[in-house]
Amino acid sequence: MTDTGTPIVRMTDIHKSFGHVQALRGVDLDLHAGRVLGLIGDNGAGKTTLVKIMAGVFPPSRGTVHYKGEQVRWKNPSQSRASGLEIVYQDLGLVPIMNIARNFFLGKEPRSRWGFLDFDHMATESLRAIAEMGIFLDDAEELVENLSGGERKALAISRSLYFGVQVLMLDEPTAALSVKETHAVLDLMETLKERGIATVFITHNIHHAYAVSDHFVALNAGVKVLDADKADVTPEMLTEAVIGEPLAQVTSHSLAASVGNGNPEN
Amino acid sequence: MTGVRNAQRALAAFTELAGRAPKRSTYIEHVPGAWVLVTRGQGMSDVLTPEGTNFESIAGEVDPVQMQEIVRAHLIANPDVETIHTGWSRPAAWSIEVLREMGKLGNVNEPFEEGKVYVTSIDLDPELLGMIDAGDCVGTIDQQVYLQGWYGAALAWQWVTNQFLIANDISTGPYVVTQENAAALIGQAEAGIRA
Amino acid sequence: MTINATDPVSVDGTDRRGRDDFRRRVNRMVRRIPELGIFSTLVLLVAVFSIGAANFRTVDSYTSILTVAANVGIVALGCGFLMISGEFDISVGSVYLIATLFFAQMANAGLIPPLAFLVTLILCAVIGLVNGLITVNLRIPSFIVTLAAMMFYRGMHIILTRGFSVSYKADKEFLEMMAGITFSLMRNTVIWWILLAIILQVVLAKTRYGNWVLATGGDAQAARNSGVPVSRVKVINFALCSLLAGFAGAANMARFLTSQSQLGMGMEFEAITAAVIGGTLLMGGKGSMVGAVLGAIFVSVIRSGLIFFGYSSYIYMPVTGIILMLAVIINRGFSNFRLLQFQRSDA
Repeated sequence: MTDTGTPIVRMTDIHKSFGHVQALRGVDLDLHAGRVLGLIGDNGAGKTTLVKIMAGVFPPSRGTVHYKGEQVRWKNPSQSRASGLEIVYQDLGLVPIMNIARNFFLGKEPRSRWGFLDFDHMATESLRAIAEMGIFLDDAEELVENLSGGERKALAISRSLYFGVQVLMLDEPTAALSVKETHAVLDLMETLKERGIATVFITHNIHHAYAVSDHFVALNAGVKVLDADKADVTPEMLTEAVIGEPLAQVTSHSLAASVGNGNPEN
Repeated sequence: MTGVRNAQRALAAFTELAGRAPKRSTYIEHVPGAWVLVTRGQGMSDVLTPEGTNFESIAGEVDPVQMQEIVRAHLIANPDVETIHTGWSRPAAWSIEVLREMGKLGNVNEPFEEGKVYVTSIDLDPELLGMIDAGDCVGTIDQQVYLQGWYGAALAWQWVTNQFLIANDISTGPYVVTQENAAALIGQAEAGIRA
Repeated sequence: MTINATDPVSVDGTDRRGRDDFRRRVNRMVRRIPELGIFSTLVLLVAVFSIGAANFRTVDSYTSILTVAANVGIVALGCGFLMISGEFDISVGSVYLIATLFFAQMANAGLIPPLAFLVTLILCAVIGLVNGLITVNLRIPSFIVTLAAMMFYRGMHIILTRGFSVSYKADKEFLEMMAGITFSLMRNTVIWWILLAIILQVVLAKTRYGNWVLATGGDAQAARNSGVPVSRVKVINFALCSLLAGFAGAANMARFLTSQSQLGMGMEFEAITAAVIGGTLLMGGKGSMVGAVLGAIFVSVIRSGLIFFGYSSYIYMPVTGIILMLAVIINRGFSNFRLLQFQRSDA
């Protein structure tokens, strides 16, 4: 695994509290183009809160977010999306009773000369983009509710890619999927890497995370308890970090001493 | 039973014109199931059915568009209807409009003609009063409060306190408006004596 | 596991291309033209009534059906459009009523009738706008907001008129265009209704805004995530719904020249019934203006047909109730049918 240099997203000392609840306590995080970050942790560990801050759903209570080297303060998710960051939520943000083409271009509909929707363009482009994910559909008028879970993920992710996403946050993308579909989604993440996307893979399934991620960050009760390259950790170590007491931080710094690997954080 | 008087007047008017009772009569309940309208229809039926009239109550609407088309459909479906009775002045005026459009409106000033339909109502409004005056509506019942018993009570009170008694019989029940007195009523309204 | 781009195999090993069997084709047709069901039922119904009752087969009876359908149909267009975006408006009957008063009073006060008509539409749109803003910003269910509006505007009409009818006394030339008869055949309201339906159908099916409306009703959160201004879409549709109710009210005034407190009573439910029978999903996200038109005609045909078959006209209400229920079951049935159709073999 080569070091990719300057991170596309750098989050520093992120704190977030909701009333009396401390959701995040001083978390640092770097994302690199063309790499998958496995963001792991048990339910309520703060994973989703962290990416929501990254995507501008709400601001951090303390700490900074840098995107492409510049500090950013997103006002709302639309702003971050326009800049190339997007969350693909667990429930996908797709409208089940609308068809593939309409969903694909929702909010960014192409229009023909008279201002009407350009259906031909919508149909061919959406099917083509989804096919690039290795999922072959033949009818752009198929309703999304009739698609399998994996096909839906492919639609949601290909849509983000089509509209120029550079940082993609996948919130529990393998939850509630069959084994076959899970494999298909993990394959999708390989495609994302090839296309140079910085991907955050949020999950509490260590094995899914381990299969595709290049780097891991584990959160436990709002505290970063692990930050290491894949080469430096085993699934057992990840599990330990997720379920253990949030005491010592395990990082590549400390691991590098024993393993002798490079430090991606520099 | 309410409606009896209405039906008697209607029957008398129709018989005068046609020399017989109507073959078929329709009463429209503009608020289907409203008790006062149901009993009124029952009263009409009690008068007309023994005369051999095929009497029917139908469900109407307070919406003029729907009411008109219900009347139209009923008349196309049942061309033998000869009289229409309503429980309120508006449906009567709306029905008269439909009949005019269909070329089936009977006028009391013209000789009786088979296929024409004659309309009676209950209640008054300026438009219907005009129609009565023109002979397009056979007649209606004026439901002024003072005629619906209040006048009688007032006279009784006069008798009890002042031993005052009027010399002639006067009508204290519903006041029937026909072409004969419609003009007078219009005059009274214009003079501001009544609404 | 890698998937070769030339290998047309989907995630679950099913080839989705080339599987064009009969059921699938039928299914696709139903999806492309969702109004097919109501349309064929309507044709069948008209055929049965026309064969069964000789008097039904007259131009008079057909145009009569359309006249009734147009009256409630214009309101149903607005109700349907709003329902597709996931909200209800049960104040349309009262807006219809108050529009007759606005129109008559302004024209009587000397405003030229076309202008009085235009201002009436604007005022009604403002009523809808207020309903929408309250619903969206205060997060009160639209059923409650518009129930309040329904009581408020009918009550205000009674207070303003003291229960007396208000007559239109201004120039009647414009009214003829609104609600007169063209070609001695058709009420102009029918023509207005069809024109409005075509415009709204195009907006719904062929424009960006239409896509937003469908998405807003289909899944508001997902629509919001995709950048659709969900609240704005809803507020605009509330305004549109009230505007169309006002249009229908003004057309009624144009024809009967009076504004009377019981006008438009129960109209909200007739309009919603027409929209639902026409295939509008109660929870939003699906429906069409063509469907709403067919639904309004359907209800009107039922009413007339029963009269022509000599049934007591009292049976209209229970029959419509049963049909409404059946329509909802069938509409849902179609989507179930589709779901079954594409159920994975391993699911």
